[in-house]
Amino acid sequence: MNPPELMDDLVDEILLRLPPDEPACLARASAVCKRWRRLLSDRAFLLRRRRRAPPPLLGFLHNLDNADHPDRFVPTTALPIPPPPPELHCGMALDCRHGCALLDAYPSRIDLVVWHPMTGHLLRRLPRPDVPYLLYYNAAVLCAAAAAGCDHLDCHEGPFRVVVVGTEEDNEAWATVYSSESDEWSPPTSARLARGPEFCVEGKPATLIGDSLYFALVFGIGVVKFDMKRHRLSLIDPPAELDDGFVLMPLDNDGVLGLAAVEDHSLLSVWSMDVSLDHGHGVANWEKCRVIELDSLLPNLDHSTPVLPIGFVEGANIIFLRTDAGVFTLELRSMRVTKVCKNGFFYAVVPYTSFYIPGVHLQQQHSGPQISNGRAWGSQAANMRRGSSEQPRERAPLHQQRRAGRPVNSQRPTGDMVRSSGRASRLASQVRPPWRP
Amino acid sequence: MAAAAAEATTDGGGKMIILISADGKRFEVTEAVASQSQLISNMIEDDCTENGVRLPNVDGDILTMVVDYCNMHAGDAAAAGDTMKASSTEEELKKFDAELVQALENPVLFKLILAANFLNIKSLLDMTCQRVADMMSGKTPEQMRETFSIENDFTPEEEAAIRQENAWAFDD
Repeated sequence: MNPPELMDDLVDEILLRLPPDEPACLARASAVCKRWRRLLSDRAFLLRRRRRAPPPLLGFLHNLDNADHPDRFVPTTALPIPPPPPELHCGMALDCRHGCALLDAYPSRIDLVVWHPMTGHLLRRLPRPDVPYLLYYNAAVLCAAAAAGCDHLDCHEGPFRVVVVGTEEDNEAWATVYSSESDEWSPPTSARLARGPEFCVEGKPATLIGDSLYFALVFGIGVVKFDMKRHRLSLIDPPAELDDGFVLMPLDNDGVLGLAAVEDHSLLSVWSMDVSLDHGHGVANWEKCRVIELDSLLPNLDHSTPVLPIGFVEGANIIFLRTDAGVFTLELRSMRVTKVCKNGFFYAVVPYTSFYIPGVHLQQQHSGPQISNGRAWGSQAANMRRGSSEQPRERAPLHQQRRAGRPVNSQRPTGDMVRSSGRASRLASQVRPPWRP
Repeated sequence: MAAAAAEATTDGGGKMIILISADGKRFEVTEAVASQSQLISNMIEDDCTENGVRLPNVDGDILTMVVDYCNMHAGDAAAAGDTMKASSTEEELKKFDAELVQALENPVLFKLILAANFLNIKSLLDMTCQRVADMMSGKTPEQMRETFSIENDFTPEEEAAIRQENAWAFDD
């Protein structure tokens, strides 16, 4: 018996509900007929998909030189996201947000590049910020309208901000904000926050809540908050002694910062803090809101190495856990556990979430990166290639690596260098990717 | 729910509505049950349900399912004030919904989608469309065409090009 024919509107309703974390299903659906193909790559349809659910996890970037994971991008679906362009293979992945990935092309020199993994576009190579030499730093990328309440339905590949937070050798903390519209960094902000000798910003992606970014400090000694509206840095004490570190996360309720750490080998504890009550004095009102027994969720843990939270997917509420049996994702709402990696002794991962758009992704892959021909870019890439043989095979955590290896040429960037980067990025802004093939 | 032949009447103070399927089967339901259909809710507001509501697009067997669904979900609002009751009802509803859609063969599922759309019952439409979408996981384009009775309108060259660019999605 043939099924009755469905009207176009109803077919749309069904296609809208295809599992977003199965790009292969979307790709096969786009091969059914011309109408379906047109619809699935249609912008209005993508916006409807975005309104239904947060973008799904497609994989993660890591900073480990590991034979099992030679590419810096490890997919968690069948979709073959291209690895970062070869020029960036020696770089560090710092953050992914709102469809963009932020990479440090030349770690220790704040040579930042914004890359769009889904299309393979290098969106922008940033001029270097005018800050003192930072011994430890991290950076975050976000949509320019995030603070103005953007729903991030249509901002991908649009204007963005990059925030750098780091510390000098004498523990002075600095922060500065880059705007893609002006192609300039804000005047830097500094503050003396250190309470001890170790005051290093951790290499785990920052968490965005409201107008503020929250960066973890190494050895779990606290959290640095950067208020982007007031351009103010402050310190938040951790809820407990958490020497193995923690991951930060926005919790379900708006304005609540979450912090997850493993205690007693196999208890994942989650604390929450109402950030509206934080007045920048460092004293935090953490409340332990959840304890999850990992032994019953994760198979075959022999506890030879401690379980470590190594990343968090904003929006999807997924936490990455590194165990002696591999890397797992744990969805905090459904408690669904998925093994995403057989082995990989990652210290931190940078999750990448985005919607797959049939017809767009692969066309871009074949066309390759759009900007890699700038003079400054070419010479930088050559420097990186020369330096690549000196890289340690297995990288230490970001903070240790930076502490160990001060670059040979560590003077502040000259005006010429900044200007040449600026030219490259202005060129970048002119090469806007087409929405559709 | 069994078909009823009675005229519109009252039951415990609540007004009853008669629904009449395409093949003439009659279903007597309360206003609260029938109002989950936005179409019928509007008709009740306009006071034009006196002589029964004829649904020429919906067969009796499909309308039976729709009425069962609406009967089951009509308790939602009543139970909302009672936390304990609401939570157990929620579980029962989930079980009922899952059993309803999972048992259905494709032609019936599509008919249920058409009925939910015609009667404008958003939650039923959402559930049935989601079921079809879930069933598409793992299907080839050919199987999807068969499910939806769709003609392949790509030229052989176009289809080959699409398959080539999506080779990664056709491996399994």
